[in-house]
Amino acid sequence: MKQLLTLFAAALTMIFSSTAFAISYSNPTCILMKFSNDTRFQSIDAASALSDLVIEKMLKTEKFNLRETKPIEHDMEIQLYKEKIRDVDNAKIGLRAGNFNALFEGPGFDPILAEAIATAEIGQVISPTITSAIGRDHGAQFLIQGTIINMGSDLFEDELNFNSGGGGLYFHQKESALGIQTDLRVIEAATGEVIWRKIVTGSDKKTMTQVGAFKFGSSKMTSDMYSEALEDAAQKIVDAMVTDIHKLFFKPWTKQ
Amino acid sequence: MKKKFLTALLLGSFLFSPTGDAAKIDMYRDAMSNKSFTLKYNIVTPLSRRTNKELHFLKGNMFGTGTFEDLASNNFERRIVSGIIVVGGENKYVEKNFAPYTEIYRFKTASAGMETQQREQKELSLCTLIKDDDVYNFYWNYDSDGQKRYYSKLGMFGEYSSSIKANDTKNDTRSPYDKLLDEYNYGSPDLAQALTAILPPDRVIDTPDTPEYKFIGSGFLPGGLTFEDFAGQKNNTHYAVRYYFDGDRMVKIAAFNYTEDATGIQDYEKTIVEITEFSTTPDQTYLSLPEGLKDKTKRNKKEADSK
Repeated sequence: MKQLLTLFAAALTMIFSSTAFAISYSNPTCILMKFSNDTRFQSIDAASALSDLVIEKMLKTEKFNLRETKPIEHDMEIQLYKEKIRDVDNAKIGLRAGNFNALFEGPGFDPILAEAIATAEIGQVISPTITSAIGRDHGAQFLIQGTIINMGSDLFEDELNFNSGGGGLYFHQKESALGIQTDLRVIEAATGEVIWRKIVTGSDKKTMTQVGAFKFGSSKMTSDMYSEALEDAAQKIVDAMVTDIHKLFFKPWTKQ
Repeated sequence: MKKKFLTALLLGSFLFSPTGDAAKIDMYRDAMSNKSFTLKYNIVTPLSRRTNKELHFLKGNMFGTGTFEDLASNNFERRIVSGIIVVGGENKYVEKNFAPYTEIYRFKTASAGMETQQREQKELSLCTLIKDDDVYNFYWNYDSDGQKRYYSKLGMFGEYSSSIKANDTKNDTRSPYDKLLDEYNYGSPDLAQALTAILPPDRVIDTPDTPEYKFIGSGFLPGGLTFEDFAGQKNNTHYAVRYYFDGDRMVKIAAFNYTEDATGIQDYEKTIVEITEFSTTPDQTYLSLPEGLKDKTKRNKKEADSK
């Protein structure tokens, strides 16, 4: 019995002393939080439309153990902001008392804590109080969160005119595009830790090409470019998660 | 509220020693006042991201895929993660290293909590060298062999140009505000705010964001570090800065400010800067053009002889 225990302890030591120890979950449960929108285009509610498209595509892949079939409407940023007010209270206490220890040595200045969800890096922690409550309410081990960080359009144009001897060649290309850029995160609900992050850009482009007198296509901006860009963004978001599915819910640890 | 206040005061009293002495900061203040120092830093906390920026991802032409103005100016994809400032009299070198937000990792150690580990940035560094009144702007990144590569601009076909001209406004990517505050530009706004408290009063530019700081106190922390605190106020904004020392060596700066008016808290910001080197002598290797960059500035004979 003693020998068995010794062998068991040795085996455990070998496992934990390896250079990398991965914590992973089998068939991890997750929910998709409704995306937030950091752009000035608030009135068109791109966040709702994009969240709905993303969850629809996630369900179709059958690769995600989604606990809810709709995006969860829970504004973590506002809750986080309220927690951050604690730092302001500590600053006020410090200023009055002439002592800033409660502020600078308090939890608000712990570098592990993310300043905001929209700037949280891998390894940083978003308030576990908030994330664990959401995870518990929906039976999810992971929260998938996205922020639309950029939306816009642009036009570029090229023109080349080759003249040679008695002949010449005229080349003209115009392209207009509309793009939507999203910052994605996977957050472990119990700890609030960000374990995966990616920025994905979806777009729709229209190109006009002219060679000599012949024109092909059109670069005119149309109203359906927005919905095409949303569709492209949603697909690229899901593709990015599927590509990284083996590490989406995986926390790399390194032992120093 | 009163209980929390008293608890904080009691806790703080174990760590706070009201010596009224900011002696350690004086060495750094003198170095900045004398324009003689080398400072290398890492930004631990990014500035809060400000939104409402139009997407411009089609800049370029048939031969190139983008300009460095786009890379460096997009604050929402890339941020300043570290930098170098070297000042030697009127000569100055400011380097800002950018990395994508998505590629900064922190790894946990199995034993002792969180250890910050920044991945070597592979994106872009913007450098400004002011030497003998000439201003040079250039960049560096890593080539495919992992070697540092310095260049002044991208050529028409995407090649890296090693010829550089001083005072070349076409390639000067600094904002007008940066140019105006050239002498006072400390690269990252995070760092600029954190250093303002130890600037000598005659070096501080009076702006809507710059308070007058007063020394508050100093003390000891568990682990052997000491600190010195400064606070200030400008209009409705209150500022607090703490400088951390290991012996006499500055190792970290933490700063916080909040704005409150009659309607309540309007805004707040926090900054943590890790100081990897802050010496009182300028590192002369940075105050010349790096190897690999050839100065092609056109000068008349008199100028050339004096340089």
